[in-house]
Amino acid sequence: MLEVEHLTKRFGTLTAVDDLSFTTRPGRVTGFLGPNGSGKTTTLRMALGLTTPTSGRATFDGVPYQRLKNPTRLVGAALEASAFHPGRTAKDHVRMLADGAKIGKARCDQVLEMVGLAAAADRRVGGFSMGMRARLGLAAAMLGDPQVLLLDEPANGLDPEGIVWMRDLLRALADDGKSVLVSSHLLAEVQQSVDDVVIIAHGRLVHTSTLAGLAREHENRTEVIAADPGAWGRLVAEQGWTVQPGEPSAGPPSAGQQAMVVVGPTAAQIGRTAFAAGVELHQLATQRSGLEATFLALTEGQGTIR
Amino acid sequence: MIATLRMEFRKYFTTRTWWALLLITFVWTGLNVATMVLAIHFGRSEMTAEQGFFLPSGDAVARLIYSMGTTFGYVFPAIVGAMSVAGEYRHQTITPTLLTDPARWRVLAAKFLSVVPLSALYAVTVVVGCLVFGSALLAALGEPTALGDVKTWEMFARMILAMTLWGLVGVGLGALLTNQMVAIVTLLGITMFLEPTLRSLPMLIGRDIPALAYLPGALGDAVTGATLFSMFGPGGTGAGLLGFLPATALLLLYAVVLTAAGYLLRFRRDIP
Repeated sequence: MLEVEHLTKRFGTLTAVDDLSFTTRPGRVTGFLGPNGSGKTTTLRMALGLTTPTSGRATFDGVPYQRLKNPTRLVGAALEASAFHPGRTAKDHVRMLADGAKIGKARCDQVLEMVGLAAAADRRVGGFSMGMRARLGLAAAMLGDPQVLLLDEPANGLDPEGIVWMRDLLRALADDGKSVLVSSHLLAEVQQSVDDVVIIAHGRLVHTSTLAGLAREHENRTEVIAADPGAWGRLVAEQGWTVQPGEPSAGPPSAGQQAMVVVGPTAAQIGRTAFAAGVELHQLATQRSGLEATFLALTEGQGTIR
Repeated sequence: MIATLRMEFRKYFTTRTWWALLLITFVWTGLNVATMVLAIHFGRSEMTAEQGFFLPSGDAVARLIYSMGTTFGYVFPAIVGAMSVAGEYRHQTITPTLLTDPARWRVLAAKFLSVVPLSALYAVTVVVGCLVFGSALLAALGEPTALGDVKTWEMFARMILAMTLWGLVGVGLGALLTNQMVAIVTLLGITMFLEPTLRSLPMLIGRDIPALAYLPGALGDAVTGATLFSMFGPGGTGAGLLGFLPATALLLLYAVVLTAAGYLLRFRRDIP
Protein backbone atom coordinates (compact mmCIF):
# COMPACT_ATOMS: atom_id res chain seq x y z
CA MET A 1 0.00 0.00 0.00
CA LEU A 2 1.35 3.40 -0.99
CA GLU A 3 0.93 6.24 1.47
CA VAL A 4 1.78 9.75 0.33
CA GLU A 5 2.01 12.24 3.20
CA HIS A 6 2.32 16.00 2.71
CA LEU A 7 4.62 15.48 -0.26
CA THR A 8 6.06 18.72 -1.63
CA LYS A 9 8.59 19.37 -4.38
CA ARG A 10 9.89 22.77 -5.37
CA PHE A 11 12.14 23.38 -8.36
CA GLY A 12 13.47 26.86 -7.64
CA THR A 13 10.42 29.06 -7.38
CA LEU A 14 8.14 26.54 -9.04
CA THR A 15 6.13 24.28 -6.77
CA ALA A 16 5.55 21.11 -8.77
CA VAL A 17 3.89 19.15 -5.98
CA ASP A 18 2.25 20.97 -3.10
CA ASP A 19 1.47 19.26 0.22
CA LEU A 20 -0.03 16.23 -1.48
CA SER A 21 -1.46 13.37 0.59
CA PHE A 22 -3.33 10.26 -0.53
CA THR A 23 -3.23 6.49 -0.17
CA THR A 24 -3.89 3.57 -2.43
CA ARG A 25 -5.88 0.58 -1.20
CA PRO A 26 -5.32 -3.14 -1.73
CA GLY A 27 -7.69 -4.73 -4.18
CA ARG A 28 -8.47 -1.43 -5.85
CA VAL A 29 -7.35 0.46 -8.91
CA THR A 30 -6.72 4.13 -8.16
CA GLY A 31 -6.75 6.62 -11.00
CA PHE A 32 -4.15 9.35 -10.42
CA LEU A 33 -5.53 12.11 -12.58
CA GLY A 34 -4.57 15.60 -13.55
CA PRO A 35 -3.72 17.70 -16.59
CA ASN A 36 -0.28 17.49 -18.16
CA GLY A 37 2.27 19.21 -15.96
CA SER A 38 0.16 18.91 -12.82
CA GLY A 39 2.84 16.96 -10.95
CA LYS A 40 1.77 13.32 -11.42
CA THR A 41 5.12 12.06 -12.68
CA THR A 42 7.07 14.10 -10.12
CA THR A 43 4.93 12.55 -7.37
CA LEU A 44 5.60 9.03 -8.64
CA ARG A 45 9.33 9.70 -9.00
CA MET A 46 9.47 11.00 -5.43
CA ALA A 47 7.60 7.95 -4.17
CA LEU A 48 10.17 5.75 -5.94
CA GLY A 49 13.21 7.54 -4.55
CA LEU A 50 14.35 8.89 -7.94
CA THR A 51 13.65 12.47 -6.91
CA THR A 52 14.11 13.81 -3.39
CA PRO A 53 11.04 15.56 -1.95
CA THR A 54 11.47 19.08 -0.62
CA SER A 55 9.32 17.95 2.30
CA GLY A 56 6.88 15.20 3.20
CA ARG A 57 7.29 11.54 2.44
CA ALA A 58 5.92 8.51 0.66
CA THR A 59 6.02 5.02 2.10
CA PHE A 60 5.17 1.49 1.03
CA ASP A 61 3.71 -0.48 3.93
CA GLY A 62 5.32 2.17 6.13
CA VAL A 63 8.80 1.99 4.57
CA PRO A 64 10.31 4.60 2.21
CA TYR A 65 11.29 3.08 -1.16
CA GLN A 66 15.02 3.60 -0.58
CA ARG A 67 14.86 1.53 2.59
CA LEU A 68 13.08 -1.46 1.03
CA LYS A 69 15.24 -4.58 1.10
CA ASN A 70 14.28 -5.86 -2.34
CA PRO A 71 11.79 -3.30 -3.72
CA THR A 72 10.99 -5.33 -6.86
CA ARG A 73 9.19 -7.84 -4.60
CA LEU A 74 6.85 -5.24 -3.09
CA VAL A 75 6.55 -2.44 -5.63
CA GLY A 76 6.41 -2.58 -9.40
CA ALA A 77 6.68 0.62 -11.39
CA ALA A 78 6.42 1.47 -15.06
CA LEU A 79 7.54 5.00 -15.81
CA GLU A 80 8.37 6.62 -19.15
CA ALA A 81 8.37 4.21 -22.04
CA SER A 82 11.87 5.10 -23.25
CA ALA A 83 14.00 3.81 -20.38
CA PHE A 84 15.44 0.91 -22.35
CA HIS A 85 18.76 0.46 -24.08
CA PRO A 86 17.82 0.24 -27.77
CA GLY A 87 20.44 -2.44 -28.38
CA ARG A 88 19.25 -4.80 -25.67
CA THR A 89 16.61 -7.45 -26.29
CA ALA A 90 13.36 -7.46 -24.34
CA LYS A 91 14.33 -10.69 -22.60
CA ASP A 92 17.76 -9.37 -21.61
CA HIS A 93 16.21 -6.17 -20.24
CA VAL A 94 13.94 -8.18 -17.98
CA ARG A 95 16.66 -10.68 -17.06
CA MET A 96 19.04 -7.87 -16.10
CA LEU A 97 16.43 -6.52 -13.67
CA ALA A 98 15.67 -10.04 -12.47
CA ASP A 99 19.35 -10.51 -11.62
CA GLY A 100 19.28 -7.41 -9.46
CA ALA A 101 16.14 -8.61 -7.67
CA LYS A 102 17.23 -12.26 -7.32
CA ILE A 103 14.46 -13.53 -9.55
CA GLY A 104 14.89 -16.54 -11.82
CA LYS A 105 14.67 -16.93 -15.58
CA ALA A 106 11.33 -18.75 -15.51
CA ARG A 107 9.55 -15.69 -14.09
CA CYS A 108 11.11 -13.53 -16.83
CA ASP A 109 9.63 -15.72 -19.54
CA GLN A 110 6.34 -15.72 -17.65
CA VAL A 111 5.97 -11.91 -17.47
CA LEU A 112 6.94 -11.52 -21.13
CA GLU A 113 4.23 -14.07 -21.91
CA MET A 114 1.73 -12.16 -19.75
CA VAL A 115 2.24 -8.93 -21.68
CA GLY A 116 2.19 -10.65 -25.05
CA LEU A 117 5.86 -10.18 -25.87
CA ALA A 118 6.95 -13.83 -25.80
CA ALA A 119 7.41 -13.90 -29.56
CA ALA A 120 9.37 -10.62 -29.54
CA ALA A 121 11.50 -11.53 -26.50
CA ASP A 122 14.70 -11.92 -28.49
CA ARG A 123 14.26 -8.74 -30.52
CA ARG A 124 16.13 -5.55 -29.67
CA VAL A 125 14.02 -2.87 -28.03
CA GLY A 126 15.26 -0.29 -30.56
CA GLY A 127 12.86 -1.80 -33.10
CA PHE A 128 9.87 -1.82 -30.75
CA SER A 129 6.75 0.29 -31.24
CA MET A 130 5.51 2.56 -28.45
CA GLY A 131 2.91 -0.02 -27.57
CA MET A 132 5.50 -2.80 -27.30
CA ARG A 133 7.64 -0.59 -25.08
CA ALA A 134 4.64 0.07 -22.86
CA ARG A 135 4.10 -3.70 -22.61
CA LEU A 136 7.77 -4.31 -21.80
CA GLY A 137 7.60 -1.65 -19.08
CA LEU A 138 4.62 -3.49 -17.62
CA ALA A 139 6.45 -6.82 -17.77
CA ALA A 140 9.30 -5.27 -15.78
CA ALA A 141 6.83 -3.83 -13.28
CA MET A 142 5.17 -7.21 -12.72
CA LEU A 143 8.46 -9.10 -12.47
CA GLY A 144 8.53 -9.43 -8.69
CA ASP A 145 4.77 -10.12 -8.41
CA PRO A 146 4.51 -6.93 -6.33
CA GLN A 147 1.65 -5.94 -4.03
CA VAL A 148 1.77 -2.32 -5.22
CA LEU A 149 1.90 -1.21 -8.85
CA LEU A 150 2.58 2.35 -9.96
CA LEU A 151 1.95 2.87 -13.64
CA ASP A 152 2.60 6.24 -15.27
CA GLU A 153 0.33 6.77 -18.29
CA PRO A 154 0.39 3.04 -19.11
CA ALA A 155 -2.07 3.40 -21.97
CA ASN A 156 0.25 5.75 -23.88
CA GLY A 157 1.12 4.27 -27.23
CA LEU A 158 -1.28 1.35 -26.93
CA ASP A 159 -3.74 0.69 -29.71
CA PRO A 160 -7.46 0.33 -28.85
CA GLU A 161 -7.04 -3.43 -28.51
CA GLY A 162 -4.08 -2.85 -26.20
CA ILE A 163 -6.10 -0.45 -24.07
CA VAL A 164 -8.82 -3.05 -23.58
CA TRP A 165 -6.14 -5.61 -22.69
CA MET A 166 -4.59 -3.14 -20.20
CA ARG A 167 -7.98 -2.50 -18.61
CA ASP A 168 -8.51 -6.22 -18.05
CA LEU A 169 -5.00 -6.61 -16.69
CA LEU A 170 -5.45 -3.79 -14.16
CA ARG A 171 -8.73 -5.37 -13.07
CA ALA A 172 -7.12 -8.79 -12.70
CA LEU A 173 -4.25 -7.35 -10.65
CA ALA A 174 -6.63 -5.56 -8.31
CA ASP A 175 -8.87 -8.63 -8.00
CA ASP A 176 -5.70 -10.43 -6.96
CA GLY A 177 -5.53 -8.09 -3.95
CA LYS A 178 -2.89 -5.71 -5.27
CA SER A 179 -3.17 -1.96 -5.02
CA VAL A 180 -2.75 -0.40 -8.44
CA LEU A 181 -2.14 3.29 -9.14
CA VAL A 182 -2.59 4.41 -12.73
CA SER A 183 -1.82 7.96 -13.77
CA SER A 184 -3.52 9.62 -16.69
CA HIS A 185 -4.40 13.07 -17.94
CA LEU A 186 -7.62 11.71 -19.41
CA LEU A 187 -10.38 10.52 -17.14
CA ALA A 188 -12.09 8.79 -20.05
CA GLU A 189 -9.00 6.64 -20.59
CA VAL A 190 -9.18 5.05 -17.14
CA GLN A 191 -12.85 5.64 -16.26
CA GLN A 192 -13.75 2.05 -17.01
CA SER A 193 -11.02 0.49 -14.91
CA VAL A 194 -10.59 2.59 -11.77
CA ASP A 195 -12.35 2.21 -8.43
CA ASP A 196 -10.94 5.32 -6.78
CA VAL A 197 -9.76 8.65 -8.08
CA VAL A 198 -7.09 11.06 -6.85
CA ILE A 199 -7.31 14.26 -8.86
CA ILE A 200 -4.57 16.87 -8.73
CA ALA A 201 -4.04 20.22 -10.41
CA HIS A 202 -1.01 22.46 -10.03
CA GLY A 203 0.49 19.86 -7.72
CA ARG A 204 -2.38 20.15 -5.25
CA LEU A 205 -5.02 17.60 -4.39
CA VAL A 206 -8.37 18.82 -5.69
CA HIS A 207 -10.49 15.74 -5.20
CA THR A 208 -10.24 12.22 -3.89
CA SER A 209 -13.06 9.72 -3.60
CA THR A 210 -14.35 6.56 -5.17
CA LEU A 211 -15.29 6.82 -8.82
CA ALA A 212 -18.93 6.58 -7.74
CA GLY A 213 -18.33 9.50 -5.38
CA LEU A 214 -17.03 11.56 -8.26
CA ALA A 215 -20.06 10.61 -10.32
CA ARG A 216 -22.38 11.77 -7.52
CA GLU A 217 -20.69 15.12 -7.57
CA HIS A 218 -21.32 15.83 -11.18
CA GLU A 219 -24.30 17.78 -12.50
CA ASN A 220 -26.14 17.06 -15.69
CA ARG A 221 -26.15 19.99 -18.05
CA THR A 222 -28.53 19.88 -20.99
CA GLU A 223 -28.89 22.38 -23.79
CA VAL A 224 -32.46 23.06 -24.75
CA ILE A 225 -34.05 25.18 -27.45
CA ALA A 226 -37.80 25.54 -27.14
CA ALA A 227 -40.08 26.60 -29.99
CA ASP A 228 -42.35 28.57 -27.63
CA PRO A 229 -40.49 30.35 -24.84
CA GLY A 230 -43.70 31.06 -22.98
CA ALA A 231 -44.78 27.40 -22.76
CA TRP A 232 -41.23 26.40 -21.92
CA GLY A 233 -41.01 28.99 -19.16
CA ARG A 234 -44.21 27.66 -17.56
CA LEU A 235 -42.87 24.10 -17.69
CA VAL A 236 -39.58 25.15 -16.04
CA ALA A 237 -41.46 26.94 -13.27
CA GLU A 238 -43.78 23.97 -12.81
CA GLN A 239 -40.88 21.49 -12.55
CA GLY A 240 -38.68 23.80 -10.46
CA TRP A 241 -35.73 23.29 -12.83
CA THR A 242 -32.64 25.45 -12.61
CA VAL A 243 -31.96 27.05 -15.94
CA GLN A 244 -29.20 29.26 -17.19
CA PRO A 245 -29.01 31.23 -20.42
CA GLY A 246 -26.95 29.15 -22.81
CA GLU A 247 -25.03 29.47 -26.04
CA PRO A 248 -26.32 26.57 -28.10
CA SER A 249 -23.55 24.59 -29.76
CA ALA A 250 -25.64 24.14 -32.91
CA GLY A 251 -25.57 27.84 -33.83
CA PRO A 252 -27.85 30.72 -32.85
CA PRO A 253 -31.53 29.87 -32.47
CA SER A 254 -34.11 31.32 -34.83
CA ALA A 255 -35.96 34.49 -33.92
CA GLY A 256 -38.26 34.12 -30.96
CA GLN A 257 -36.58 30.99 -29.74
CA GLN A 258 -34.51 30.75 -26.62
CA ALA A 259 -31.44 28.66 -25.81
CA MET A 260 -31.22 27.44 -22.23
CA VAL A 261 -29.06 25.12 -20.19
CA VAL A 262 -30.97 23.00 -17.71
CA VAL A 263 -28.91 21.93 -14.71
CA GLY A 264 -29.93 18.79 -12.86
CA PRO A 265 -32.24 16.46 -14.77
CA THR A 266 -30.95 14.29 -17.57
CA ALA A 267 -31.82 14.94 -21.21
CA ALA A 268 -34.15 11.94 -21.09
CA GLN A 269 -36.07 13.34 -18.13
CA ILE A 270 -36.43 16.75 -19.79
CA GLY A 271 -37.51 15.25 -23.07
CA ARG A 272 -40.11 12.99 -21.44
CA THR A 273 -41.56 15.83 -19.34
CA ALA A 274 -41.69 18.25 -22.28
CA PHE A 275 -43.33 15.62 -24.48
CA ALA A 276 -45.95 14.88 -21.82
CA ALA A 277 -46.67 18.59 -21.44
CA GLY A 278 -46.82 19.11 -25.21
CA VAL A 279 -43.94 21.60 -25.25
CA GLU A 280 -42.13 21.60 -28.57
CA LEU A 281 -38.33 21.32 -28.30
CA HIS A 282 -35.97 21.99 -31.22
CA GLN A 283 -32.85 20.93 -29.45
CA LEU A 284 -32.07 18.68 -26.55
CA ALA A 285 -28.35 17.98 -26.09
CA THR A 286 -26.20 16.76 -23.18
CA GLN A 287 -23.19 18.98 -22.61
CA ARG A 288 -20.11 16.69 -22.43
CA SER A 289 -20.21 13.52 -20.43
CA GLY A 290 -21.00 14.29 -16.83
CA LEU A 291 -17.87 12.78 -15.30
CA GLU A 292 -15.56 14.39 -17.82
CA ALA A 293 -17.22 17.75 -17.16
CA THR A 294 -16.74 17.35 -13.43
CA PHE A 295 -13.11 16.39 -13.95
CA LEU A 296 -12.53 19.41 -16.18
CA ALA A 297 -14.36 21.70 -13.75
CA LEU A 298 -12.12 20.47 -10.92
CA THR A 299 -8.97 21.12 -12.90
CA GLU A 300 -10.37 24.12 -14.76
CA GLY A 301 -7.88 26.56 -16.22
CA GLN A 302 -5.07 24.59 -14.66
CA GLY A 303 -4.10 22.56 -17.67
CA THR A 304 -1.53 24.95 -19.02
CA ILE A 305 1.89 23.48 -19.60
CA ARG A 306 4.29 25.20 -17.28
CA MET B 1 25.71 -6.50 -3.48
CA ILE B 2 26.13 -9.77 -5.38
CA ALA B 3 22.73 -9.32 -7.05
CA THR B 4 23.62 -5.75 -8.04
CA LEU B 5 26.97 -6.95 -9.43
CA ARG B 6 25.22 -9.64 -11.46
CA MET B 7 22.88 -6.99 -12.82
CA GLU B 8 25.90 -4.90 -13.90
CA PHE B 9 27.56 -7.80 -15.71
CA ARG B 10 24.34 -8.72 -17.49
CA LYS B 11 24.10 -5.06 -18.56
CA TYR B 12 27.57 -5.02 -20.16
CA PHE B 13 27.25 -8.26 -22.04
CA THR B 14 23.71 -7.84 -23.42
CA THR B 15 24.46 -5.00 -25.80
CA ARG B 16 26.86 -5.05 -28.72
CA THR B 17 29.00 -2.23 -27.37
CA TRP B 18 31.34 -4.49 -25.42
CA TRP B 19 32.58 -6.59 -28.30
CA ALA B 20 32.55 -3.79 -30.85
CA LEU B 21 34.78 -1.78 -28.53
CA LEU B 22 36.92 -4.85 -27.87
CA LEU B 23 37.47 -5.23 -31.61
CA ILE B 24 38.37 -1.55 -31.97
CA THR B 25 40.76 -1.84 -29.01
CA PHE B 26 42.52 -4.78 -30.63
CA VAL B 27 42.82 -3.26 -34.08
CA TRP B 28 43.73 0.27 -32.94
CA THR B 29 46.49 -0.73 -30.53
CA GLY B 30 47.73 -3.39 -32.91
CA LEU B 31 48.02 -1.01 -35.85
CA ASN B 32 49.77 1.63 -33.76
CA VAL B 33 52.25 -0.87 -32.38
CA ALA B 34 52.87 -2.21 -35.86
CA THR B 35 53.51 1.33 -37.11
CA MET B 36 56.06 1.79 -34.31
CA VAL B 37 57.80 -1.45 -35.27
CA LEU B 38 58.10 -0.29 -38.87
CA ALA B 39 59.18 3.22 -37.91
CA ILE B 40 61.96 1.95 -35.67
CA HIS B 41 63.06 -0.82 -38.00
CA PHE B 42 63.37 1.35 -41.06
CA GLY B 43 64.17 4.65 -39.37
CA ARG B 44 66.69 3.51 -36.80
CA SER B 45 69.71 4.99 -38.61
CA GLU B 46 68.12 8.42 -38.43
CA MET B 47 66.89 8.13 -34.85
CA THR B 48 70.08 9.36 -33.31
CA ALA B 49 70.83 11.37 -30.21
CA GLU B 50 71.67 14.35 -32.43
CA GLN B 51 68.14 14.18 -33.78
CA GLY B 52 66.73 14.03 -30.26
CA PHE B 53 65.99 10.29 -30.11
CA PHE B 54 67.17 8.00 -27.38
CA LEU B 55 66.51 4.47 -28.57
CA PRO B 56 67.50 1.62 -26.29
CA SER B 57 69.04 -1.46 -27.81
CA GLY B 58 68.31 -5.19 -27.97
CA ASP B 59 65.31 -6.56 -26.05
CA ALA B 60 64.61 -3.15 -24.52
CA VAL B 61 63.54 -1.87 -27.95
CA ALA B 62 60.90 -4.57 -28.19
CA ARG B 63 59.66 -3.76 -24.70
CA LEU B 64 59.48 -0.07 -25.51
CA ILE B 65 57.35 -0.95 -28.53
CA TYR B 66 55.05 -3.22 -26.50
CA SER B 67 54.64 -0.56 -23.84
CA MET B 68 53.05 1.60 -26.53
CA GLY B 69 50.07 -0.67 -26.09
CA THR B 70 49.32 1.17 -22.87
CA THR B 71 49.88 4.54 -24.49
CA PHE B 72 47.42 3.81 -27.29
CA GLY B 73 45.13 1.42 -25.44
CA TYR B 74 44.43 2.88 -22.02
CA VAL B 75 41.68 5.12 -23.32
CA PHE B 76 39.48 2.06 -24.07
CA PRO B 77 39.11 0.63 -20.55
CA ALA B 78 38.63 4.22 -19.42
CA ILE B 79 35.76 4.63 -21.90
CA VAL B 80 34.24 1.35 -20.73
CA GLY B 81 34.40 2.58 -17.12
CA ALA B 82 32.88 5.95 -17.98
CA MET B 83 30.09 4.33 -20.01
CA SER B 84 29.17 2.00 -17.17
CA VAL B 85 27.83 5.07 -15.37
CA ALA B 86 27.18 7.70 -18.05
CA GLY B 87 25.71 5.18 -20.51
CA GLU B 88 22.92 4.54 -18.02
CA TYR B 89 22.08 8.24 -18.00
CA ARG B 90 22.31 8.33 -21.78
CA HIS B 91 19.68 5.61 -22.23
CA GLN B 92 17.80 6.40 -19.00
CA THR B 93 18.32 2.81 -17.86
CA ILE B 94 19.53 4.40 -14.62
CA THR B 95 15.82 4.57 -13.72
CA PRO B 96 15.12 0.79 -13.80
CA THR B 97 18.54 0.20 -12.23
CA LEU B 98 17.73 2.41 -9.24
CA LEU B 99 14.21 0.99 -9.01
CA THR B 100 15.80 -2.44 -8.64
CA ASP B 101 18.44 -1.29 -6.17
CA PRO B 102 17.62 2.12 -4.69
CA ALA B 103 20.81 2.24 -2.61
CA ARG B 104 22.85 4.51 -4.83
CA TRP B 105 26.13 3.97 -3.05
CA ARG B 106 25.74 0.24 -3.68
CA VAL B 107 24.94 0.74 -7.36
CA LEU B 108 28.04 2.89 -7.85
CA ALA B 109 30.20 0.51 -5.79
CA ALA B 110 28.95 -2.38 -7.95
CA LYS B 111 29.92 -0.45 -11.07
CA PHE B 112 33.37 0.27 -9.64
CA LEU B 113 33.95 -3.39 -8.75
CA SER B 114 32.49 -4.82 -11.95
CA VAL B 115 34.70 -2.58 -14.06
CA VAL B 116 37.81 -4.28 -12.59
CA PRO B 117 37.42 -7.56 -14.52
CA LEU B 118 35.83 -5.74 -17.44
CA SER B 119 38.68 -3.28 -17.99
CA ALA B 120 41.14 -6.13 -17.36
CA LEU B 121 39.51 -7.84 -20.36
CA TYR B 122 40.23 -4.78 -22.52
CA ALA B 123 43.76 -4.57 -21.10
CA VAL B 124 44.41 -8.22 -22.00
CA THR B 125 43.09 -7.45 -25.48
CA VAL B 126 45.64 -4.65 -25.77
CA VAL B 127 48.43 -7.04 -24.78
CA VAL B 128 47.18 -9.63 -27.27
CA GLY B 129 47.17 -6.87 -29.90
CA CYS B 130 50.80 -6.08 -29.04
CA LEU B 131 51.71 -9.76 -29.36
CA VAL B 132 49.82 -10.43 -32.57
CA PHE B 133 50.85 -7.26 -34.40
CA GLY B 134 54.07 -6.32 -32.59
CA SER B 135 55.90 -9.59 -31.90
CA ALA B 136 54.91 -11.16 -35.19
CA LEU B 137 56.11 -8.16 -37.16
CA LEU B 138 59.34 -7.88 -35.14
CA ALA B 139 60.05 -11.56 -35.74
CA ALA B 140 59.27 -11.23 -39.43
CA LEU B 141 61.72 -8.34 -39.71
CA GLY B 142 64.39 -10.26 -37.84
CA GLU B 143 64.29 -7.98 -34.81
CA PRO B 144 64.46 -9.33 -31.25
CA THR B 145 60.96 -9.97 -29.84
CA ALA B 146 62.08 -10.15 -26.19
CA LEU B 147 59.44 -12.81 -25.58
CA GLY B 148 62.02 -15.12 -24.03
CA ASP B 149 62.77 -12.55 -21.36
CA VAL B 150 60.72 -12.78 -18.16
CA LYS B 151 60.98 -8.98 -17.84
CA THR B 152 58.80 -8.66 -20.94
CA TRP B 153 56.01 -10.77 -19.45
CA GLU B 154 56.33 -8.90 -16.18
CA MET B 155 55.76 -5.71 -18.14
CA PHE B 156 52.67 -7.18 -19.83
CA ALA B 157 51.28 -7.88 -16.36
CA ARG B 158 52.03 -4.31 -15.29
CA MET B 159 50.38 -2.98 -18.47
CA ILE B 160 47.22 -4.91 -17.60
CA LEU B 161 47.30 -3.47 -14.08
CA ALA B 162 47.79 0.08 -15.38
CA MET B 163 44.92 -0.16 -17.85
CA THR B 164 42.62 -1.79 -15.29
CA LEU B 165 43.25 1.19 -13.00
CA TRP B 166 42.39 3.45 -15.92
CA GLY B 167 39.04 1.70 -16.21
CA LEU B 168 38.35 2.76 -12.62
CA VAL B 169 39.39 6.35 -13.36
CA GLY B 170 36.78 6.15 -16.13
CA VAL B 171 34.08 5.13 -13.63
CA GLY B 172 34.93 8.19 -11.55
CA LEU B 173 34.80 10.47 -14.56
CA GLY B 174 31.49 8.95 -15.68
CA ALA B 175 29.98 9.43 -12.21
CA LEU B 176 31.22 13.00 -12.04
CA LEU B 177 30.05 14.04 -15.53
CA THR B 178 27.06 11.65 -16.03
CA ASN B 179 26.80 12.84 -19.65
CA GLN B 180 28.22 10.07 -21.84
CA MET B 181 29.26 12.32 -24.69
CA VAL B 182 30.94 14.83 -22.40
CA ALA B 183 32.67 12.02 -20.50
CA ILE B 184 34.09 10.41 -23.64
CA VAL B 185 35.16 13.74 -25.16
CA THR B 186 36.82 14.69 -21.87
CA LEU B 187 38.65 11.37 -21.76
CA LEU B 188 39.83 11.66 -25.34
CA GLY B 189 40.81 15.29 -24.77
CA ILE B 190 42.88 14.48 -21.71
CA THR B 191 44.49 11.29 -22.97
CA MET B 192 45.02 12.20 -26.60
CA PHE B 193 45.70 15.92 -26.40
CA LEU B 194 46.19 17.51 -22.99
CA GLU B 195 48.59 14.98 -21.50
CA PRO B 196 50.74 14.45 -24.59
CA THR B 197 51.03 18.23 -24.97
CA LEU B 198 51.99 18.82 -21.35
CA ARG B 199 54.42 15.94 -21.35
CA SER B 200 56.12 17.20 -24.49
CA LEU B 201 56.92 20.49 -22.75
CA PRO B 202 60.20 19.29 -21.16
CA MET B 203 61.51 18.47 -24.64
CA LEU B 204 60.64 21.93 -25.86
CA ILE B 205 62.02 23.88 -22.91
CA GLY B 206 64.92 21.52 -22.40
CA ARG B 207 64.47 20.73 -18.72
CA ASP B 208 62.45 18.39 -16.55
CA ILE B 209 59.12 19.37 -14.97
CA PRO B 210 58.72 17.08 -11.92
CA ALA B 211 54.99 17.83 -11.49
CA LEU B 212 54.25 16.09 -14.79
CA ALA B 213 54.98 12.75 -13.14
CA TYR B 214 51.68 13.11 -11.28
CA LEU B 215 49.55 13.34 -14.43
CA PRO B 216 47.32 10.27 -14.72
CA GLY B 217 48.89 9.16 -18.00
CA ALA B 218 52.39 9.48 -16.53
CA LEU B 219 51.23 7.37 -13.59
CA GLY B 220 49.98 4.74 -16.03
CA ASP B 221 53.38 4.74 -17.71
CA ALA B 222 55.05 4.47 -14.32
CA VAL B 223 52.91 1.43 -13.47
CA THR B 224 53.81 -0.09 -16.85
CA GLY B 225 57.46 0.81 -16.23
CA ALA B 226 58.10 2.17 -19.68
CA THR B 227 57.04 5.15 -21.68
CA LEU B 228 57.05 6.41 -25.20
CA PHE B 229 58.36 9.72 -23.89
CA SER B 230 61.55 8.05 -22.69
CA MET B 231 62.49 7.89 -26.36
CA PHE B 232 62.81 11.64 -26.27
CA GLY B 233 64.16 11.98 -22.73
CA PRO B 234 67.76 11.94 -21.48
CA GLY B 235 69.18 8.47 -21.24
CA GLY B 236 66.02 6.79 -22.48
CA THR B 237 65.15 5.45 -19.05
CA GLY B 238 61.81 7.10 -18.58
CA ALA B 239 63.34 9.49 -16.11
CA GLY B 240 60.96 11.62 -14.11
CA LEU B 241 58.38 8.87 -13.57
CA LEU B 242 57.37 7.71 -10.11
CA GLY B 243 58.16 4.23 -8.89
CA PHE B 244 55.81 1.28 -9.50
CA LEU B 245 54.21 1.17 -6.05
CA PRO B 246 53.64 4.90 -5.50
CA ALA B 247 52.34 5.22 -9.05
CA THR B 248 49.92 2.30 -8.60
CA ALA B 249 48.68 3.66 -5.28
CA LEU B 250 48.28 7.18 -6.65
CA LEU B 251 46.39 6.10 -9.78
CA LEU B 252 44.03 4.03 -7.62
CA LEU B 253 43.61 7.03 -5.35
CA TYR B 254 42.69 9.20 -8.36
CA ALA B 255 40.02 6.65 -9.31
CA VAL B 256 38.62 6.45 -5.78
CA VAL B 257 38.60 10.22 -5.26
CA LEU B 258 36.92 10.85 -8.64
CA THR B 259 34.30 8.20 -7.95
CA ALA B 260 33.64 9.49 -4.43
CA ALA B 261 33.35 13.04 -5.79
CA GLY B 262 30.99 11.78 -8.49
CA TYR B 263 28.87 10.08 -5.85
CA LEU B 264 28.72 13.12 -3.57
CA LEU B 265 28.23 15.75 -6.26
CA ARG B 266 26.22 14.01 -9.00
CA PHE B 267 25.16 10.44 -8.45
CA ARG B 268 22.98 11.19 -5.43
CA ARG B 269 21.05 13.89 -7.25
CA ASP B 270 17.54 13.65 -8.67
CA ILE B 271 17.42 11.46 -11.75
CA PRO B 272 16.38 13.58 -14.74
